[in-house]
Amino acid sequence: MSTLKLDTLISRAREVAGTTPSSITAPYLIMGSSKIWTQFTSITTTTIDQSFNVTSLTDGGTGITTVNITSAMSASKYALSAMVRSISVVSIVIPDYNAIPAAATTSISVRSINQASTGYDTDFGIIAQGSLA
Amino acid sequence: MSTLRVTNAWPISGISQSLMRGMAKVWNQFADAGTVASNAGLNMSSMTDGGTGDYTTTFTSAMISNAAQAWKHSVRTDGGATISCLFNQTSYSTTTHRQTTFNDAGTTGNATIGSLVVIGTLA
Repeated sequence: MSTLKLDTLISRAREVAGTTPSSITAPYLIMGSSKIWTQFTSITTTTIDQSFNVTSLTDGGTGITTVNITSAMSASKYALSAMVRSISVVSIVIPDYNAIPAAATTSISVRSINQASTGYDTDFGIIAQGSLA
Repeated sequence: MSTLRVTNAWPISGISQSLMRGMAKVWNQFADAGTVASNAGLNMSSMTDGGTGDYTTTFTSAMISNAAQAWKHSVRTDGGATISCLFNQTSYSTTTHRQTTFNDAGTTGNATIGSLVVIGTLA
């Protein structure tokens, strides 16, 4: 295993071309990179399609899924992004934090609901930005 | 101070990855229980409460342009027989991002918990 310690990362191609900005500092590399992402479905059986830093999913009922994290986050306060698929043409579906707090250090609870605020099983994608423990 | 100049970044197995432009340059997780407050964030200096469901995040380091940004919002919806909160990007600049929560009737409502992620290029 190799470890790299640095303060600034410079794009050599952009530097050679004289294109700015050509660099990024360590905080953006560490805190700006996605620590968790997963695409999953809950339509029939809750199943991971693709993922990073995700151990498993737990089906919490219609539209409700807990994403179990492999390497824990340092704190429960991190940013989530989510996208869901509206399968029925008559339903608006939105992703939602499932609880307060929904984001814990080792799991994230999310839900998808329709315009009647009713749980809705669908295809789901989430991304989390923050710091690992 | 250490500086690394790279053309490509390669994992031990797999293909090279685009590092710089794919990083989030701003993120903010916040709550509004009457008073809006940031819980945690990256490259943000403050939040402004513009009224019910109206939030502006101010960046510490500016983005290079208005065009070179993509955003993601997430929100907790609470109660009601309808979708109670959706985020809408209201306005943005190189140093601020304003977002609003509203229901399906177009009425603004406070976000119990919300997130903003900005991906793009810093100035």
